[in-house]
Amino acid sequence: MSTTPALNEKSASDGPADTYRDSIRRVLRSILRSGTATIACIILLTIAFAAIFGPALIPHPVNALNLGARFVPPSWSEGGTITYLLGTDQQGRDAFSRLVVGARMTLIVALCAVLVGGSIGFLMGLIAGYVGGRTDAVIMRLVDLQLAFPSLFIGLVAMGLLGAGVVQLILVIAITQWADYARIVRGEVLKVRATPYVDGARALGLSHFRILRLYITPNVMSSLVIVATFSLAVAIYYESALSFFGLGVPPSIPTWGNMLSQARDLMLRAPWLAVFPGVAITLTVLSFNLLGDWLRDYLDVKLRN
Amino acid sequence: MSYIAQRLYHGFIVLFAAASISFVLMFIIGDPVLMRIGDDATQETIDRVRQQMGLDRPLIVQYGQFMWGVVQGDFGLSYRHQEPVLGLLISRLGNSIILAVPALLLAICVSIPVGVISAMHRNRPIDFIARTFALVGQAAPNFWVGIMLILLFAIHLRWLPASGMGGETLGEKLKYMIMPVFTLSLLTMAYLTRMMRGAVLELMGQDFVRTARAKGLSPRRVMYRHVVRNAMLPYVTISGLQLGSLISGSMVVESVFSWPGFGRFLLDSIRLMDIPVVAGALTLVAVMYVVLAFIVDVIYTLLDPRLRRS
Repeated sequence: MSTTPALNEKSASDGPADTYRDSIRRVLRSILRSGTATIACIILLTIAFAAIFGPALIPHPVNALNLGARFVPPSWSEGGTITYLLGTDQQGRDAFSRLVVGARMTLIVALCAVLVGGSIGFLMGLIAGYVGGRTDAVIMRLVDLQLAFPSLFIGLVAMGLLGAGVVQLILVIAITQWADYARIVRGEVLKVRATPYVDGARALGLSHFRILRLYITPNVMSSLVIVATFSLAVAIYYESALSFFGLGVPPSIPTWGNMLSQARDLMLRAPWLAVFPGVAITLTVLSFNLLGDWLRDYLDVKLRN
Repeated sequence: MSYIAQRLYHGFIVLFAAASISFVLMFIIGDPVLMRIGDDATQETIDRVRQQMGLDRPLIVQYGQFMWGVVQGDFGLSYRHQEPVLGLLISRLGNSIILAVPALLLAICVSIPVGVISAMHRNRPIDFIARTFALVGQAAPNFWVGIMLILLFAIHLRWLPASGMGGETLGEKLKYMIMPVFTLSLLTMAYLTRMMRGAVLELMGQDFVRTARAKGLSPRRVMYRHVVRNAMLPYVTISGLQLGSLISGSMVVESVFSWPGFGRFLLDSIRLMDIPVVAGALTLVAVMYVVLAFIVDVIYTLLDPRLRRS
């Protein structure tokens, strides 16, 4: 940070020293120009806010039983009160509070799963593409094997064997995702490896590690970020689906999938309980997909320039 | 054709690996003896059954026997039903196909015209509506869509039966199918619509399309002969590879709508840890995938003459 604000401002606009801030500005401008990306960002920021600060702000503790206020309908319908904005469930727990807090575990699981799955897939793809030969063949057959099975099937079987739990869930979702990364990263590595500057780097005697770090990885990054954004959407779906079937996050922790699972049994008595967790999942998945679409356009344009 | 041979070879590797995973599931993770006779059996009984089932032999021999069984379609007996696994699975496959085929057809019949129209009227209201529908259809989790449909059409409006498979006449039978088929179809429909739209838009900017237009062909003819035909190429591959999402989808949809099919049976077997059924399904799913991927490869080679030459 410079001490003179005037100098600082000047360098932000035309100095090469501040390209980082420039690029952030460029990203923001591009997001604002795309209506869908703006909407996606607003939704995701709201959900992130709910996940981070929600537990401190909610009107009712998520597991507070209040048998006097069972099955209160949402506030706008007959018999509803503003105290329970989205109504209550069979134990008098506040649906709105649970929905807000549910964002936390849903996002934690999705982020961790993408981080773990992305790292494994990235490394596998990097190795397969760079080393080639038999190593490549073995990794690609593993990818084939993975892709032969629907992810939900693998997820359910693995969770059935491991038992419901947050750590298991993260690992299982990560495992269902690694193959996508591996395939795409490998493809990108093959493309980059064939370029003259990598040949040049090799001719200069750079170590494999440095070539991977300095020349290959940066070129693979944009695809990786795009895949990761879409994977977040997929991970949120799997978290909810596995929790919905009772093989995900333990039912004591509120997540959107768990809430839907409970709501399903109360469909006749309390239909409102089933609506909002699904809306929350849909909006989050939609936002990550829109963001991924925007990112793909944005990074492609940059590559073409 | 060496491409096809290579794919075939890869397919066999996948099948071999899938069967091996099934073996690991059955003989290493699950203990078939305890599963069969329960925890409270005496040691003597356990030993006797173990010997009867050939489980006292070395693991490698058991593995060989298991693989030989798999080749003949023998995955052992279900713990729950005490019947051969393959028969149980196949008997339920029919009910799933009753849902899956109409779902796939619906997805195809909607996605091709909607994708083409959406691309032709890019950025107009009709495109906006189609894209919104596709985006939401892709984002809404199928188990929730199912619940919402039940709430609306079965509980609130009382137009359709909430769940199950029944009805005497064809019309009544169809009533039971409408919601599951739509729910199963939605994701594929949305996905294929987006794909079709993207493919058409990309092709519309290509040189050969411009040439066709410059030749004075009618826009309709350019669209159908030059754009849509070429867009069908990736479309065929991708719609063929929807098997996975149809299987996942049928697990969800059949469970939500209590439809007595393969997916629901599989889900119940996973929940109750009926390992022979899970292991058998694992191999069966791999077989379906490999066969379908192979057929798609062959069709693709037939459709694209460039691939045939190389």
